[in-house]
Amino acid sequence: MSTALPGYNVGYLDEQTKRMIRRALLKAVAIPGFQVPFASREVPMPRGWGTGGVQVTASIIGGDDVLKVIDQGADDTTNAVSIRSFFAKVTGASTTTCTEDATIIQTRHRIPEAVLREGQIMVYQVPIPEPLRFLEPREAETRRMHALEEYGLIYVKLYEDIAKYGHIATTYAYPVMVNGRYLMDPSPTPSFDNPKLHQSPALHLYGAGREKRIYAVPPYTDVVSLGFEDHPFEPQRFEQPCAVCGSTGVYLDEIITDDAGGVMYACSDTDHCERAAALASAHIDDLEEARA
Amino acid sequence: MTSTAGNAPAIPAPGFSDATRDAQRAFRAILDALSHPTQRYPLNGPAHPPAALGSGLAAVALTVLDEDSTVWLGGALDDREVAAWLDFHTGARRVGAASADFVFAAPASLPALGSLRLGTDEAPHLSTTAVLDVRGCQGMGSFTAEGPGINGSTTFNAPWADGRFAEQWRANTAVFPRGVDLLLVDADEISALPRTTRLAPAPTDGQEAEQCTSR
Ligand SMILES: [Zn+2]
Repeated sequence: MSTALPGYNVGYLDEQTKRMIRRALLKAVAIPGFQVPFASREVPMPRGWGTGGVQVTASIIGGDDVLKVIDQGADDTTNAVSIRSFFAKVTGASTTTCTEDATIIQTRHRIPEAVLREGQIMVYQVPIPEPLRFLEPREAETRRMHALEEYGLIYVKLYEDIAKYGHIATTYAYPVMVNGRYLMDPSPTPSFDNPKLHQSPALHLYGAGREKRIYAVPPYTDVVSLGFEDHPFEPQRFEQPCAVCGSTGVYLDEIITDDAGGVMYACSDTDHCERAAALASAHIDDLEEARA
Repeated sequence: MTSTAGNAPAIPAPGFSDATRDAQRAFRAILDALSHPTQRYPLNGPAHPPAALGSGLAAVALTVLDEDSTVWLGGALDDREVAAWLDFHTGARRVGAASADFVFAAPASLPALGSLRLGTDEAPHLSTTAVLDVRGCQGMGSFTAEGPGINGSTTFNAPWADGRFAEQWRANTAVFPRGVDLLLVDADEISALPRTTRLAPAPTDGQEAEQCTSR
Protein backbone atom coordinates (compact mmCIF):
# COMPACT_ATOMS: atom_id res chain seq x y z
CA MET A 1 0.00 0.00 0.00
CA SER A 2 1.37 3.34 -1.03
CA THR A 3 -0.15 5.84 1.39
CA ALA A 4 1.91 7.64 3.97
CA LEU A 5 0.40 5.47 6.67
CA PRO A 6 1.22 1.83 6.16
CA GLY A 7 -1.35 -0.50 7.68
CA TYR A 8 -4.38 1.71 7.03
CA ASN A 9 -7.02 0.57 4.57
CA VAL A 10 -7.64 2.67 1.53
CA GLY A 11 -10.60 4.83 2.49
CA TYR A 12 -9.70 4.07 6.11
CA LEU A 13 -13.15 2.72 7.00
CA ASP A 14 -14.96 -0.22 5.43
CA GLU A 15 -18.39 0.41 3.93
CA GLN A 16 -20.26 -1.22 6.81
CA THR A 17 -18.54 0.96 9.40
CA LYS A 18 -19.30 4.03 7.31
CA ARG A 19 -22.98 3.05 7.08
CA MET A 20 -23.15 2.65 10.86
CA ILE A 21 -21.55 6.07 11.42
CA ARG A 22 -23.75 7.62 8.73
CA ARG A 23 -26.90 6.32 10.43
CA ALA A 24 -25.65 7.83 13.71
CA LEU A 25 -24.96 11.15 11.96
CA LEU A 26 -28.51 11.32 10.59
CA LYS A 27 -29.91 10.85 14.10
CA ALA A 28 -27.48 13.42 15.51
CA VAL A 29 -28.67 16.04 13.03
CA ALA A 30 -32.32 15.23 13.76
CA ILE A 31 -31.81 15.58 17.54
CA PRO A 32 -29.54 18.64 17.88
CA GLY A 33 -27.12 18.40 20.80
CA PHE A 34 -28.03 14.82 21.73
CA GLN A 35 -25.11 12.40 21.97
CA VAL A 36 -25.78 9.42 19.73
CA PRO A 37 -23.82 6.31 20.75
CA PHE A 38 -21.96 4.58 17.94
CA ALA A 39 -19.66 1.58 17.71
CA SER A 40 -16.39 3.44 17.31
CA ARG A 41 -13.75 1.37 15.58
CA GLU A 42 -10.82 0.39 17.73
CA VAL A 43 -8.06 1.46 15.41
CA PRO A 44 -4.58 2.49 16.38
CA MET A 45 -4.05 6.09 15.31
CA PRO A 46 -1.22 8.53 15.58
CA ARG A 47 -1.58 10.77 18.63
CA GLY A 48 -3.52 13.93 17.98
CA TRP A 49 -5.53 12.57 15.08
CA GLY A 50 -8.71 12.31 17.08
CA THR A 51 -10.32 9.00 16.16
CA GLY A 52 -13.85 10.42 16.41
CA GLY A 53 -13.24 13.36 14.10
CA VAL A 54 -11.35 11.26 11.59
CA GLN A 55 -14.10 8.63 11.54
CA VAL A 56 -16.74 11.31 10.93
CA THR A 57 -14.69 12.92 8.16
CA ALA A 58 -14.04 9.51 6.57
CA SER A 59 -17.79 8.81 6.56
CA ILE A 60 -18.81 12.03 4.84
CA ILE A 61 -15.93 13.01 2.53
CA GLY A 62 -15.96 12.44 -1.22
CA GLY A 63 -13.92 13.30 -4.28
CA ASP A 64 -15.77 16.60 -4.76
CA ASP A 65 -14.84 17.88 -1.31
CA VAL A 66 -12.22 20.45 -0.40
CA LEU A 67 -10.77 19.62 3.00
CA LYS A 68 -9.14 21.94 5.50
CA VAL A 69 -7.65 20.59 8.74
CA ILE A 70 -6.60 22.74 11.66
CA ASP A 71 -4.78 21.88 14.84
CA GLN A 72 -5.25 24.74 17.29
CA GLY A 73 -5.81 27.40 14.61
CA ALA A 74 -2.97 26.32 12.39
CA ASP A 75 -3.00 24.43 9.10
CA ASP A 76 0.70 23.64 9.16
CA THR A 77 1.23 21.46 12.23
CA THR A 78 2.38 17.88 11.71
CA ASN A 79 -1.04 16.47 12.64
CA ALA A 80 -3.01 18.81 10.40
CA VAL A 81 -0.70 18.18 7.45
CA SER A 82 -0.79 14.40 7.79
CA ILE A 83 -4.58 14.18 8.24
CA ARG A 84 -5.06 16.38 5.18
CA SER A 85 -2.69 14.45 2.95
CA PHE A 86 -4.10 11.14 4.18
CA PHE A 87 -7.65 12.05 3.10
CA ALA A 88 -6.43 13.51 -0.17
CA LYS A 89 -4.72 10.22 -0.96
CA VAL A 90 -7.50 7.86 0.01
CA THR A 91 -10.53 9.83 -1.20
CA GLY A 92 -9.26 12.01 -4.04
CA ALA A 93 -10.58 15.09 -2.23
CA SER A 94 -8.61 18.27 -2.73
CA THR A 95 -7.23 20.19 0.22
CA THR A 96 -6.88 23.81 1.17
CA THR A 97 -5.80 26.04 3.99
CA CYS A 98 -8.32 28.71 2.93
CA THR A 99 -11.43 28.67 5.11
CA GLU A 100 -13.67 30.12 2.40
CA ASP A 101 -12.69 27.44 -0.12
CA ALA A 102 -13.23 24.46 2.20
CA THR A 103 -16.35 22.28 2.13
CA ILE A 104 -15.22 20.26 5.17
CA ILE A 105 -13.10 21.69 8.00
CA GLN A 106 -11.79 19.26 10.60
CA THR A 107 -10.59 20.85 13.81
CA ARG A 108 -9.28 19.85 17.20
CA HIS A 109 -9.54 23.28 18.77
CA ARG A 110 -10.67 26.38 16.93
CA ILE A 111 -13.55 27.54 14.77
CA PRO A 112 -11.99 29.71 12.02
CA GLU A 113 -12.26 33.50 12.24
CA ALA A 114 -13.79 33.78 8.74
CA VAL A 115 -17.58 33.59 8.87
CA LEU A 116 -18.72 30.13 7.79
CA ARG A 117 -21.23 29.74 4.99
CA GLU A 118 -24.14 27.45 4.20
CA GLY A 119 -22.95 24.15 2.77
CA GLN A 120 -19.77 23.99 4.83
CA ILE A 121 -19.33 21.22 7.40
CA MET A 122 -17.22 21.58 10.55
CA VAL A 123 -15.95 18.29 12.04
CA TYR A 124 -14.71 18.42 15.65
CA GLN A 125 -12.34 15.94 17.29
CA VAL A 126 -13.94 15.68 20.71
CA PRO A 127 -12.05 14.34 23.74
CA ILE A 128 -14.90 14.30 26.30
CA PRO A 129 -18.42 14.68 24.88
CA GLU A 130 -20.41 14.64 28.13
CA PRO A 131 -20.78 18.13 29.65
CA LEU A 132 -22.04 16.62 32.92
CA ARG A 133 -19.19 14.10 33.26
CA PHE A 134 -17.14 16.08 35.77
CA LEU A 135 -20.23 16.52 37.93
CA GLU A 136 -21.61 13.01 37.55
CA PRO A 137 -19.29 10.16 36.54
CA ARG A 138 -22.04 7.57 36.06
CA GLU A 139 -23.13 7.22 32.44
CA ALA A 140 -26.61 5.90 33.29
CA GLU A 141 -27.13 8.93 35.53
CA THR A 142 -26.05 11.55 32.95
CA ARG A 143 -28.29 9.89 30.36
CA ARG A 144 -31.19 10.21 32.81
CA MET A 145 -30.34 13.85 33.50
CA HIS A 146 -30.41 14.66 29.77
CA ALA A 147 -33.71 12.81 29.41
CA LEU A 148 -35.27 14.83 32.24
CA GLU A 149 -33.51 18.07 31.23
CA GLU A 150 -32.11 18.08 34.75
CA TYR A 151 -29.31 20.61 34.34
CA GLY A 152 -29.35 22.36 37.73
CA LEU A 153 -25.97 20.95 38.79
CA ILE A 154 -24.07 22.65 36.02
CA TYR A 155 -25.55 26.03 36.93
CA VAL A 156 -24.46 25.43 40.51
CA LYS A 157 -20.92 24.73 39.31
CA LEU A 158 -20.84 27.91 37.20
CA TYR A 159 -22.23 29.93 40.09
CA GLU A 160 -19.52 28.59 42.40
CA ASP A 161 -17.02 30.02 39.91
CA ILE A 162 -18.64 33.40 40.23
CA ALA A 163 -18.59 33.21 44.02
CA LYS A 164 -14.92 32.23 43.98
CA TYR A 165 -13.49 34.33 41.15
CA GLY A 166 -16.11 37.01 40.59
CA HIS A 167 -16.68 35.66 37.09
CA ILE A 168 -17.16 32.34 35.32
CA ALA A 169 -13.68 30.85 35.07
CA THR A 170 -14.42 28.27 32.41
CA THR A 171 -12.76 29.21 29.13
CA TYR A 172 -12.71 25.80 27.41
CA ALA A 173 -15.54 23.34 26.93
CA TYR A 174 -17.93 26.08 28.05
CA PRO A 175 -21.37 24.42 28.10
CA VAL A 176 -24.15 25.49 25.74
CA MET A 177 -27.88 24.79 25.37
CA VAL A 178 -28.73 23.60 21.87
CA ASN A 179 -32.13 24.35 20.37
CA GLY A 180 -33.40 25.11 23.87
CA ARG A 181 -33.27 21.46 24.84
CA TYR A 182 -29.91 19.69 25.16
CA LEU A 183 -26.93 20.70 27.22
CA MET A 184 -23.88 20.23 24.99
CA ASP A 185 -20.13 20.44 25.30
CA PRO A 186 -18.82 22.42 22.31
CA SER A 187 -15.40 21.03 23.17
CA PRO A 188 -12.66 21.26 22.01
CA THR A 189 -13.25 24.93 21.18
CA PRO A 190 -12.44 27.84 23.51
CA SER A 191 -15.40 29.85 24.80
CA PHE A 192 -14.21 32.64 22.48
CA ASP A 193 -15.66 30.58 19.62
CA ASN A 194 -18.99 29.71 21.32
CA PRO A 195 -20.92 32.65 19.78
CA LYS A 196 -19.98 31.44 16.28
CA LEU A 197 -22.19 28.38 16.76
CA HIS A 198 -25.41 30.33 17.33
CA GLN A 199 -27.52 30.34 14.15
CA SER A 200 -24.42 29.35 12.16
CA PRO A 201 -25.15 28.72 8.47
CA ALA A 202 -22.77 25.73 8.57
CA LEU A 203 -23.38 22.18 9.82
CA HIS A 204 -21.32 21.19 12.88
CA LEU A 205 -20.54 17.51 13.51
CA TYR A 206 -18.81 16.26 16.66
CA GLY A 207 -17.05 12.91 16.90
CA ALA A 208 -15.76 11.45 20.16
CA GLY A 209 -13.89 8.24 19.30
CA ARG A 210 -12.82 7.01 22.69
CA GLU A 211 -16.24 7.71 24.24
CA LYS A 212 -18.11 6.50 21.15
CA ARG A 213 -20.47 9.44 20.73
CA ILE A 214 -21.53 11.55 17.77
CA TYR A 215 -23.51 14.76 18.08
CA ALA A 216 -24.40 17.70 15.88
CA VAL A 217 -25.55 21.27 15.60
CA PRO A 218 -27.53 21.74 12.38
CA PRO A 219 -27.34 25.05 10.52
CA TYR A 220 -29.52 27.93 11.82
CA THR A 221 -29.91 26.45 15.30
CA ASP A 222 -29.96 28.32 18.59
CA VAL A 223 -26.82 27.68 20.62
CA VAL A 224 -26.79 29.61 23.88
CA SER A 225 -23.86 29.64 26.29
CA LEU A 226 -25.04 29.19 29.87
CA GLY A 227 -25.16 32.31 32.00
CA PHE A 228 -27.06 34.17 34.70
CA GLU A 229 -29.04 37.36 34.57
CA ASP A 230 -26.53 39.15 36.80
CA HIS A 231 -23.56 37.29 35.31
CA PRO A 232 -24.25 36.69 31.63
CA PHE A 233 -21.88 34.60 29.52
CA GLU A 234 -18.89 36.57 28.36
CA PRO A 235 -16.60 35.08 25.76
CA GLN A 236 -12.86 35.55 26.24
CA ARG A 237 -11.64 38.92 25.04
CA PHE A 238 -8.22 39.91 23.81
CA GLU A 239 -7.33 43.53 24.38
CA GLN A 240 -4.34 43.86 22.07
CA PRO A 241 -4.29 43.46 18.28
CA CYS A 242 -2.36 40.64 16.56
CA ALA A 243 1.34 41.54 16.44
CA VAL A 244 1.65 40.10 12.93
CA CYS A 245 -1.42 41.30 11.02
CA GLY A 246 -2.98 43.88 13.31
CA SER A 247 -6.40 42.15 13.50
CA THR A 248 -8.53 42.91 16.52
CA GLY A 249 -11.37 40.83 17.94
CA VAL A 250 -9.61 37.58 17.06
CA TYR A 251 -8.32 34.73 19.19
CA LEU A 252 -4.65 35.26 20.04
CA ASP A 253 -1.93 32.84 21.04
CA GLU A 254 0.81 33.91 23.40
CA ILE A 255 4.17 33.39 21.75
CA ILE A 256 7.35 33.43 23.82
CA THR A 257 9.88 35.51 21.91
CA ASP A 258 13.04 35.18 24.02
CA ASP A 259 14.58 33.62 27.12
CA ALA A 260 13.98 36.80 29.10
CA GLY A 261 10.22 36.17 29.20
CA GLY A 262 9.35 38.40 26.27
CA VAL A 263 5.99 37.56 24.70
CA MET A 264 3.96 38.62 21.74
CA TYR A 265 0.38 37.87 20.78
CA ALA A 266 -0.56 36.62 17.34
CA CYS A 267 -3.60 35.10 15.64
CA SER A 268 -4.12 31.41 16.36
CA ASP A 269 -5.93 31.21 12.98
CA THR A 270 -2.94 31.17 10.62
CA ASP A 271 -5.05 31.35 7.45
CA HIS A 272 -6.80 34.46 8.73
CA CYS A 273 -3.49 36.01 9.83
CA GLU A 274 -1.78 35.47 6.47
CA ARG A 275 -4.70 36.96 4.58
CA ALA A 276 -5.05 39.92 6.92
CA ALA A 277 -1.28 40.57 6.79
CA ALA A 278 -1.31 40.42 2.96
CA LEU A 279 -4.26 42.83 2.85
CA ALA A 280 -2.56 45.20 5.27
CA SER A 281 0.70 45.24 3.29
CA ALA A 282 -1.20 45.74 0.00
CA HIS A 283 -2.92 48.68 1.69
CA ILE A 284 0.45 50.14 2.75
CA ASP A 285 1.74 49.70 -0.84
CA ASP A 286 -1.31 51.56 -2.11
CA LEU A 287 -0.73 54.37 0.36
CA GLU A 288 2.93 54.65 -0.60
CA GLU A 289 2.06 54.62 -4.27
CA ALA A 290 -0.48 57.38 -3.73
CA ARG A 291 2.13 59.39 -1.86
CA ALA A 292 4.81 58.96 -4.58
CA MET B 1 -28.72 -17.13 -5.93
CA THR B 2 -31.50 -19.19 -7.52
CA SER B 3 -35.04 -18.19 -8.19
CA THR B 4 -37.61 -20.52 -6.73
CA ALA B 5 -40.89 -19.20 -8.05
CA GLY B 6 -42.78 -16.38 -9.64
CA ASN B 7 -41.16 -13.43 -11.34
CA ALA B 8 -38.20 -12.99 -9.02
CA PRO B 9 -35.16 -12.74 -11.25
CA ALA B 10 -32.41 -15.28 -10.76
CA ILE B 11 -29.85 -12.59 -10.13
CA PRO B 12 -31.07 -9.25 -8.78
CA ALA B 13 -30.21 -6.17 -10.84
CA PRO B 14 -26.94 -4.46 -9.91
CA GLY B 15 -26.69 -1.91 -7.10
CA PHE B 16 -24.55 1.21 -7.28
CA SER B 17 -22.05 1.10 -10.13
CA ASP B 18 -19.38 2.33 -7.71
CA ALA B 19 -20.38 1.19 -4.23
CA THR B 20 -18.05 3.55 -2.34
CA ARG B 21 -18.43 6.75 -4.34
CA ASP B 22 -22.13 6.44 -5.13
CA ALA B 23 -23.02 5.67 -1.51
CA GLN B 24 -20.95 8.66 -0.37
CA ARG B 25 -22.78 10.99 -2.78
CA ALA B 26 -26.18 9.63 -1.82
CA PHE B 27 -25.34 9.94 1.87
CA ARG B 28 -24.36 13.58 1.45
CA ALA B 29 -27.68 14.24 -0.28
CA ILE B 30 -29.52 12.64 2.67
CA LEU B 31 -27.38 14.53 5.20
CA ASP B 32 -27.90 17.80 3.32
CA ALA B 33 -31.64 17.19 3.19
CA LEU B 34 -31.92 16.50 6.94
CA SER B 35 -29.67 19.48 7.74
CA HIS B 36 -31.74 21.81 5.54
CA PRO B 37 -35.32 20.63 6.00
CA THR B 38 -37.68 21.18 3.05
CA GLN B 39 -34.83 21.91 0.59
CA ARG B 40 -34.45 19.48 -2.32
CA TYR B 41 -31.17 17.80 -3.23
CA PRO B 42 -30.33 15.68 -6.30
CA LEU B 43 -30.10 11.97 -5.58
CA ASN B 44 -28.50 9.52 -8.00
CA GLY B 45 -29.35 5.85 -7.72
CA PRO B 46 -28.48 2.65 -9.53
CA ALA B 47 -29.25 2.50 -13.26
CA HIS B 48 -31.63 -0.47 -13.13
CA PRO B 49 -33.42 -0.53 -9.77
CA PRO B 50 -36.48 -2.72 -9.19
CA ALA B 51 -39.39 -0.92 -10.88
CA ALA B 52 -41.46 -0.53 -7.73
CA LEU B 53 -38.53 0.96 -5.83
CA GLY B 54 -37.20 3.34 -8.44
CA SER B 55 -33.81 5.00 -8.48
CA GLY B 56 -34.23 7.41 -5.56
CA LEU B 57 -35.54 4.93 -2.99
CA ALA B 58 -32.96 2.40 -4.19
CA ALA B 59 -30.18 4.94 -3.54
CA VAL B 60 -31.42 5.54 0.01
CA ALA B 61 -31.77 1.80 0.65
CA LEU B 62 -28.24 1.02 -0.55
CA THR B 63 -26.85 3.87 1.54
CA VAL B 64 -28.47 3.26 4.92
CA LEU B 65 -29.46 -0.41 5.02
CA ASP B 66 -27.33 -3.43 5.89
CA GLU B 67 -27.51 -6.57 8.02
CA ASP B 68 -27.39 -4.41 11.16
CA SER B 69 -30.63 -2.63 10.29
CA THR B 70 -34.28 -3.59 9.97
CA VAL B 71 -36.76 -2.50 7.33
CA TRP B 72 -40.47 -2.64 6.59
CA LEU B 73 -41.85 -2.28 3.07
CA GLY B 74 -45.32 -0.81 2.59
CA GLY B 75 -47.90 -1.09 -0.20
CA ALA B 76 -46.53 -1.56 -3.70
CA LEU B 77 -42.96 -1.63 -2.37
CA ASP B 78 -43.70 -4.89 -0.64
CA ASP B 79 -43.09 -6.99 -3.74
CA ARG B 80 -40.93 -9.94 -4.49
CA GLU B 81 -38.50 -8.17 -6.78
CA VAL B 82 -37.85 -5.39 -4.27
CA ALA B 83 -37.46 -7.86 -1.41
CA ALA B 84 -35.03 -10.05 -3.37
CA TRP B 85 -33.04 -7.01 -4.46
CA LEU B 86 -32.81 -5.62 -0.90
CA ASP B 87 -31.87 -9.05 0.47
CA PHE B 88 -29.11 -9.41 -2.07
CA HIS B 89 -27.63 -5.92 -1.79
CA THR B 90 -28.23 -4.95 1.83
CA GLY B 91 -29.08 -8.01 3.93
CA ALA B 92 -31.40 -5.81 6.00
CA ARG B 93 -33.83 -7.89 8.05
CA ARG B 94 -37.50 -7.35 7.31
CA VAL B 95 -39.68 -6.80 10.37
CA GLY B 96 -43.07 -5.32 11.25
CA ALA B 97 -43.60 -1.59 10.74
CA ALA B 98 -43.84 -0.93 14.48
CA SER B 99 -40.30 -2.14 15.15
CA ALA B 100 -38.42 -1.25 11.97
CA ASP B 101 -35.40 1.09 11.86
CA PHE B 102 -36.52 2.16 8.39
CA VAL B 103 -40.00 2.14 6.92
CA PHE B 104 -40.25 2.47 3.13
CA ALA B 105 -43.76 3.38 1.94
CA ALA B 106 -45.87 5.55 -0.31
CA PRO B 107 -48.13 8.09 1.48
CA ALA B 108 -51.17 5.84 1.18
CA SER B 109 -49.43 2.86 2.78
CA LEU B 110 -47.48 4.74 5.46
CA PRO B 111 -48.69 3.65 8.91
CA ALA B 112 -49.75 6.42 11.30
CA LEU B 113 -46.55 8.11 12.46
CA GLY B 114 -47.49 7.61 16.11
CA SER B 115 -47.61 3.84 15.57
CA LEU B 116 -43.95 3.74 14.51
CA ARG B 117 -40.98 3.48 16.86
CA LEU B 118 -40.46 6.90 18.48
CA GLY B 119 -37.47 6.09 20.68
CA THR B 120 -37.41 6.87 24.40
CA ASP B 121 -36.53 10.01 26.33
CA GLU B 122 -33.16 8.47 27.19
CA ALA B 123 -32.60 7.00 23.73
CA PRO B 124 -34.53 9.15 21.25
CA HIS B 125 -32.22 7.96 18.47
CA LEU B 126 -33.77 4.49 18.63
CA SER B 127 -36.60 5.68 16.44
CA THR B 128 -37.86 4.94 12.95
CA THR B 129 -36.78 6.83 9.89
CA ALA B 130 -39.72 6.86 7.48
CA VAL B 131 -38.63 6.89 3.84
CA LEU B 132 -41.58 8.17 1.87
CA ASP B 133 -42.02 7.46 -1.83
CA VAL B 134 -43.35 10.78 -3.18
CA ARG B 135 -43.08 10.06 -6.90
CA GLY B 136 -45.97 11.46 -8.90
CA CYS B 137 -47.80 13.12 -6.00
CA GLN B 138 -50.02 16.04 -7.04
CA GLY B 139 -51.86 17.08 -3.91
CA MET B 140 -52.25 20.67 -2.73
CA GLY B 141 -50.54 20.39 0.66
CA SER B 142 -48.56 23.48 1.59
CA PHE B 143 -46.96 24.44 4.88
CA THR B 144 -44.91 27.11 6.54
CA ALA B 145 -41.89 25.40 8.06
CA GLU B 146 -39.48 26.48 10.77
CA GLY B 147 -36.92 24.93 13.09
CA PRO B 148 -33.24 23.96 13.10
CA GLY B 149 -31.72 23.96 9.61
CA ILE B 150 -34.18 26.56 8.34
CA ASN B 151 -33.10 30.20 8.21
CA GLY B 152 -36.18 31.85 9.73
CA SER B 153 -39.14 30.21 8.05
CA THR B 154 -39.94 28.89 4.62
CA THR B 155 -42.89 27.79 2.54
CA PHE B 156 -42.97 24.11 1.80
CA ASN B 157 -45.11 22.39 -0.80
CA ALA B 158 -46.06 18.86 0.20
CA PRO B 159 -48.09 17.34 -2.64
CA TRP B 160 -47.80 13.98 -0.90
CA ALA B 161 -49.42 15.16 2.34
CA ASP B 162 -52.86 13.68 2.91
CA GLY B 163 -55.55 14.98 5.24
CA ARG B 164 -54.19 13.21 8.32
CA PHE B 165 -50.60 14.35 7.92
CA ALA B 166 -50.71 17.81 9.54
CA GLU B 167 -52.14 16.50 12.79
CA GLN B 168 -49.83 13.48 12.85
CA TRP B 169 -46.80 15.70 12.31
CA ARG B 170 -47.90 18.11 15.03
CA ALA B 171 -48.12 15.15 17.41
CA ASN B 172 -44.71 13.93 16.23
CA THR B 173 -42.99 17.24 16.98
CA ALA B 174 -44.79 17.47 20.33
CA VAL B 175 -43.03 14.38 21.70
CA PHE B 176 -39.52 15.73 20.99
CA PRO B 177 -36.82 14.51 21.55
CA ARG B 178 -38.72 11.36 20.63
CA GLY B 179 -40.27 11.11 17.19
CA VAL B 180 -39.76 9.86 13.64
CA ASP B 181 -37.77 11.59 10.92
CA LEU B 182 -39.12 11.70 7.40
CA LEU B 183 -37.13 11.37 4.18
CA LEU B 184 -39.15 12.43 1.12
CA VAL B 185 -37.78 10.66 -1.91
CA ASP B 186 -38.71 11.44 -5.49
CA ALA B 187 -37.32 9.71 -8.59
CA ASP B 188 -34.08 11.68 -8.44
CA GLU B 189 -34.42 14.13 -5.55
CA ILE B 190 -34.63 14.05 -1.79
CA SER B 191 -35.88 16.42 0.87
CA ALA B 192 -36.50 15.75 4.54
CA LEU B 193 -38.39 16.66 7.67
CA PRO B 194 -36.48 15.88 10.85
CA ARG B 195 -38.58 15.71 14.02
CA THR B 196 -37.50 19.29 14.86
CA THR B 197 -39.30 20.90 11.92
CA ARG B 198 -42.52 22.65 12.92
CA LEU B 199 -45.17 22.92 10.22
CA ALA B 200 -48.18 25.21 10.02
CA PRO B 201 -50.65 24.60 7.21
CA ALA B 202 -50.47 27.40 4.64
CA PRO B 203 -53.76 28.51 3.10
CA THR B 204 -54.42 26.86 -0.27
CA ASP B 205 -56.98 27.70 -2.96
CA GLY B 206 -57.66 24.16 -4.08
CA GLN B 207 -59.56 21.38 -2.43
CA GLU B 208 -57.88 18.65 -0.44
CA ALA B 209 -56.28 16.22 -2.86
CA GLU B 210 -53.99 13.30 -2.27
CA GLN B 211 -53.12 11.94 -5.66
CA CYS B 212 -49.92 9.99 -5.79
CA THR B 213 -49.36 7.55 -8.65
CA SER B 214 -47.43 5.21 -6.39
CA ARG B 215 -49.23 3.26 -3.71
ZN1 LIG C 1 -2.83 37.96 12.83
